[in-house]
Amino acid sequence: MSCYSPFRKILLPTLAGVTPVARAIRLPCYVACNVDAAATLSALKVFFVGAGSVGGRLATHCARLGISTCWITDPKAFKGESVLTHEMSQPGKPKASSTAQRCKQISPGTCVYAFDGSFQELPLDAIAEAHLVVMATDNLPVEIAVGQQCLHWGKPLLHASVHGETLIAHVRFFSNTDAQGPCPACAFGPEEWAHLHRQTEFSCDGFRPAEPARTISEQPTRAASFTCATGADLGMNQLLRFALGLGEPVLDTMIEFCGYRNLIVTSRLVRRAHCCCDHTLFTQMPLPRPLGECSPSCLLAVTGFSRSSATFTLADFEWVEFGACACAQPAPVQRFVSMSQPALGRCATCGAELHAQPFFTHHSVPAQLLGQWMERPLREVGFVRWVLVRHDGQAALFRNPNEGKES
Amino acid sequence: MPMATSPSTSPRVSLSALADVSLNAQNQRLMDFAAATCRGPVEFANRLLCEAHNVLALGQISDRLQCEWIDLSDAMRVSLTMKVPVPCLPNPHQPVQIATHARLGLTYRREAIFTPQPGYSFINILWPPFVWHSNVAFDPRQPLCLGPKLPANVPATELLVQSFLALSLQAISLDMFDSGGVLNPAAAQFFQRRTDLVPLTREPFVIPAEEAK
Repeated sequence: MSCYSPFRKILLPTLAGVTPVARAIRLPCYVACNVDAAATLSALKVFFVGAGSVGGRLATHCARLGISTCWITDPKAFKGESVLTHEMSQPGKPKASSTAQRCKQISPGTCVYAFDGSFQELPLDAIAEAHLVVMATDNLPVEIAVGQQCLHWGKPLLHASVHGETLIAHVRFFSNTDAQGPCPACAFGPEEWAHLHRQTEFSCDGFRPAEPARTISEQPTRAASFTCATGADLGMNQLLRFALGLGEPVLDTMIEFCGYRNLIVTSRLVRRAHCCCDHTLFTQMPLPRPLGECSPSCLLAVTGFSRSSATFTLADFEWVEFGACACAQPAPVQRFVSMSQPALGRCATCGAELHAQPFFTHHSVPAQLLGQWMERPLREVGFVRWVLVRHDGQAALFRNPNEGKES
Repeated sequence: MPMATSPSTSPRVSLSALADVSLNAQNQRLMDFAAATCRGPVEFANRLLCEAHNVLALGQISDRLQCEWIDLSDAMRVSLTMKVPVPCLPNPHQPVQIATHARLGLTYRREAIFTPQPGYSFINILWPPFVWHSNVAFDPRQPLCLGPKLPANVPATELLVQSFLALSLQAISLDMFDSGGVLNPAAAQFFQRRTDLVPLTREPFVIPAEEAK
């Protein structure tokens, strides 16, 4: 975990917990398992998006398997009605931190990190160290964002959800090994897009008719606790099959359990031909020398991309073309500026404080705008954790080798 | 079938049929330049090209906008001039002045397609300076707030129409206790007292053809 990560490491000082030996004794000898199950699970790193009635259960199940590391993110807190659907409920407490503490209690040997914010607030490389991402969220923008990140990083994504009214539980498993593979948005129909545009949230916090009307953007999921648990358990089964290679491959499949008929249907997930999401895989490239010593031009040469259409994205930095001050014309800045310390000093002409003008600020900057910065080493910009070079449908990622190590 | 767009011809094109408008020579040049700089995945690039075309077509049919340049290299950035009365306060000891037009910077990022964005993230007023408006921050960047959170996938043309309505004070947030939209509380108080200034014009966004002549 990078020291730049907003995740908080969960530390519980006095714990008895379950020893690895005791856990190994309880672990079944899975039929036709060709790997050391205990060793494989104890090395597994899982990133959880959503710690609600489904995601929270998935996280605690994984802790019981003694996985190596887990990250849990959820921006919400438990409510009074959470007790109707959630495995644990502490009204007022953040779901991510509470679930993370529970995981740590179950498995003291697991490195557990929590972030009480939304997935979109995390840096681009938040999931870089995970072997698998598990998503059980309540709103569609997050599904798209997680699907995009997993596609970019080539991380397998397990998505568990339920539909309470029909007693249906879905588990979708996206392999993300190929840019031509499916993403969560590929399966969106007109109704999902309409919900997305209306900002609907499918909250798992239950619904009480006596309550005043909720905001238009929130649509409580009317699922019973056991339906959520079914979704989580099915998801866990898929996760285990993926991790240990049990049975038929689960990648790019969807299983759907229908409670009305006690029927499970498995189907293939396929990419929609004109999915509007970015299906670009980031290819991790070897660094010719330490990243700080490389110039954008040097990185571009490694990729072989054309300079005329390449763009650069630097972690934690934005390119400011012009600033805003008291001058009538925008003042040229033309350099990378740290997003955490966006001070640009004072304008040489008017003497007023110079601000980055958002209209002239680029998160991804075309190579043609960089000018002399193309040849200057990145250490002159600051400490750059990674650089992404994009060119049409291709992307090359350069990361500092010490990124992702325990800080 | 391409539709005629000259302001002197009638009938006017509907705002819902902008995709069918054929661009005039100047706008077509801007569009060609934008297409040449457009990068990224093909689906997103196509979406940006469509939005850029609609913005240019909106300018053509309304006679309200004049696009200066369009850049589609990472997001859609459009620099444009809008005919709209804008209240300004360059000197706090003098009365509020009304500028006759504004230069706006429209930024439409990729995230806006999928994720609801804060209302101040799309429009910056590049000129005039010292805009005195409850929904415009009184700082050099001059972001215009169009609401607390705008829905995902909002069309760029809708943002421009909303900007016109906000700047001309036809749609304005003055309630300081409603956090949505108010970026300059002093201006909100000012316009609560000076209701005679609200709105600055009652003109519709599309300038009537006879006036455009």
